[in-house]
Amino acid sequence: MRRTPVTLRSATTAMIFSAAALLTPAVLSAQFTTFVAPPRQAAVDSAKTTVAVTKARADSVARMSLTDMKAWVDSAAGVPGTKVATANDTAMASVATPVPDQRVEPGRTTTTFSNGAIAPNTATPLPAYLVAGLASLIVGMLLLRLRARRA
Amino acid sequence: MIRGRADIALRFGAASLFIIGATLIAFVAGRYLVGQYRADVARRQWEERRAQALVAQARDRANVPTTSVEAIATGAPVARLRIPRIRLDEIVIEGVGDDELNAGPGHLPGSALPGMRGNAVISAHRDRHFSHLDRLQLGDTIRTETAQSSGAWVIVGRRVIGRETPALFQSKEPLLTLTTCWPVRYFGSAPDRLILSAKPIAGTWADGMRTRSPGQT
Repeated sequence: MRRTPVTLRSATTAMIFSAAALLTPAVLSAQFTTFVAPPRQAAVDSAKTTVAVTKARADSVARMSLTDMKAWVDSAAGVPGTKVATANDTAMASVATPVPDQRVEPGRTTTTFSNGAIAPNTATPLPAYLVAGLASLIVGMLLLRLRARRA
Repeated sequence: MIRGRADIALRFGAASLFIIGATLIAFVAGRYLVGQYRADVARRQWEERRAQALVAQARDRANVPTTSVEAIATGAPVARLRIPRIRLDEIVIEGVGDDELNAGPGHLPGSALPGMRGNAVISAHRDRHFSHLDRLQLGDTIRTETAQSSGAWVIVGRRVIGRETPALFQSKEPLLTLTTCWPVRYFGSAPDRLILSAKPIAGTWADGMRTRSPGQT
């Protein structure tokens, strides 16, 4: 007769763990894996910084100016003979538009398009909530078990 | 006496943690379920719109006058986005607010629609619809479909920038920009943004490029 509550508790625990196992893998994978913190940058003087920034911008523009993408696209799309617009006369010109040397005020979000706008705010707290909730649930269950053992 | 108090504190703490955890999980699960429901609704609406567009095109061919394209309401489905490499097939929703991004990739209002001249900006969460966007490389293809046109794009730019760095610029030519948070695998609020730029593949646009998006200023 005394086994009934134990069985019920075990079933509840099993259900909670099963639900957690089903719900979380995709979300957890977006949380913990493969993030490597960038190395701390050494301090440099402003002249070197200016030169480096100018060079980096030039590099990024050059990198965007792709040429002879036809072979890439044909193989990727599996469409033989498709013509790819060249970097000189298509959207590449706008991709390589010089970036205005400005910082957008912190906390501002983009809700409509404008030239030089920051990217829309795609940050979401839901995965963090889920991880915190699971951790809280598991710790709570462990404490309850500890108390049950003491009793 | 002390043991009794410790027992009460342990019980209270455990119960509190249990309730807080369950509440958080229920909240997140609820948001995801609502998002999935809205995504399903958007897909149905999109299919209805696509059918209406096909009828309108047929009427155009038969020289029957049709009504002009109306402005796009926030939350309405505006396009279908497919990226074969990451097996993504989603309906793009107008707007980039919390509710829109919870339901699907969002089209930034004021930007061009995919296939129209100008910069078409589509954003989504890194933990949801764009969870594999980091796997895309230069040369990968993207397919878009709107009520007016459909065709393929090739990725020509991939940048990681700070979240407060200007990232979106006007374009005289058709351009597709996909954005999400970066790093994709990160705990907490991601500090950067991943920006992918794509340009149309000539010859894949059967309906032709348009000059202006509906509702675009």
